[in-house]
Amino acid sequence: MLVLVMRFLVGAVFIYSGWEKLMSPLPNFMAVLEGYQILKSSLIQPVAFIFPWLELVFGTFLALGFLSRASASVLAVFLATFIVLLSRSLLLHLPLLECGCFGSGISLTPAQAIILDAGLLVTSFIIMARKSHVLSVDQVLHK
Amino acid sequence: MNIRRRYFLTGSGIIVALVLLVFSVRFGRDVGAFSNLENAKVKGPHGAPVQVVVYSDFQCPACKNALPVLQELENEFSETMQIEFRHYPLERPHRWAMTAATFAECAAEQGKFWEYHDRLYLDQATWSNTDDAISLFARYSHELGLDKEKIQKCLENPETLQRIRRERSTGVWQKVESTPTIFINGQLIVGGLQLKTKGREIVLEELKKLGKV
Repeated sequence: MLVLVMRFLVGAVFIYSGWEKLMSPLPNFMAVLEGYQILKSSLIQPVAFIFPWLELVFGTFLALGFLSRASASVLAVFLATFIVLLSRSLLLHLPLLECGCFGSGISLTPAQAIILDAGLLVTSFIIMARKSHVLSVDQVLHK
Repeated sequence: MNIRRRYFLTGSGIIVALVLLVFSVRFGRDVGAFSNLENAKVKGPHGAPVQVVVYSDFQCPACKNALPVLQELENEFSETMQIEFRHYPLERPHRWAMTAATFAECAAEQGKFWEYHDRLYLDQATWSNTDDAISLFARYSHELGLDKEKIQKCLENPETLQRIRRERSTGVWQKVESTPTIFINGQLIVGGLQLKTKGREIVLEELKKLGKV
């Protein structure tokens, strides 16, 4: 049951994050990516366009328990990437007032976002370690 | 039905449902809608074909960095572009942003908004890092020849603060998330970098649409 709650939790965070970005004009997320000063300018627009969709889709997959382990693995890769990017921004003293993780919804500083992402990453590993998931689409499809 | 096919159909179904949901909610949200506010702080020719709205925070370094880019556009399109400033003070990270906005709003009442605006950005690094920015703001008012009594009255008037908050709320409604956010005839641009790479292009496109070039 605890893993079910974890699945909903990680899934919900990504659904919210993707949704907020998709509801906001593209230049807002492009500006967030520009702030991290890591992507080539030619990549910023395509990444800003695609990434929120990936968050929404895999967040929904995980919450519904569809391809649970694979979805948790994808989201774990995202979380590990966020942690690296946020740590880099702190080390380089980049002028980021907030992480830009949730669009206009929730404002977190890079340090707060690292703590959240680390917690979600551990949770994702626990989900990945489980072979079967209760109340999941996977369970229904395997019947 | 084999398991792979079941998975493929289910996954596709979820994705299609999400796409439909996102587009149905987004449809009709016109964030670029232009609305004239009371006491608008504008410069440039009245009724200009290109209307630029800048949501800015006086304590935001990125806003200061975007100013020369905006200035270049203003110089190039001085006959065809009007710029409107709207307050979007970020109070949490910027301690003096709201106070600076209040002083600027009071300077606007005496017709010296843009002079005060320029002064605040010019000295941003100084007042941002002091414990007594208010005395600096008062000094700028004095140097710009503003009436001290009127300024004091304006600062104490709760309507001044409400006006600033209303402008910020308009920004929130227009999906402004950070500063500076600029609307060029309703097209949204965020930050100096996007303004530099796309600003001129958008202005020219708008003028072309209106047959002004």
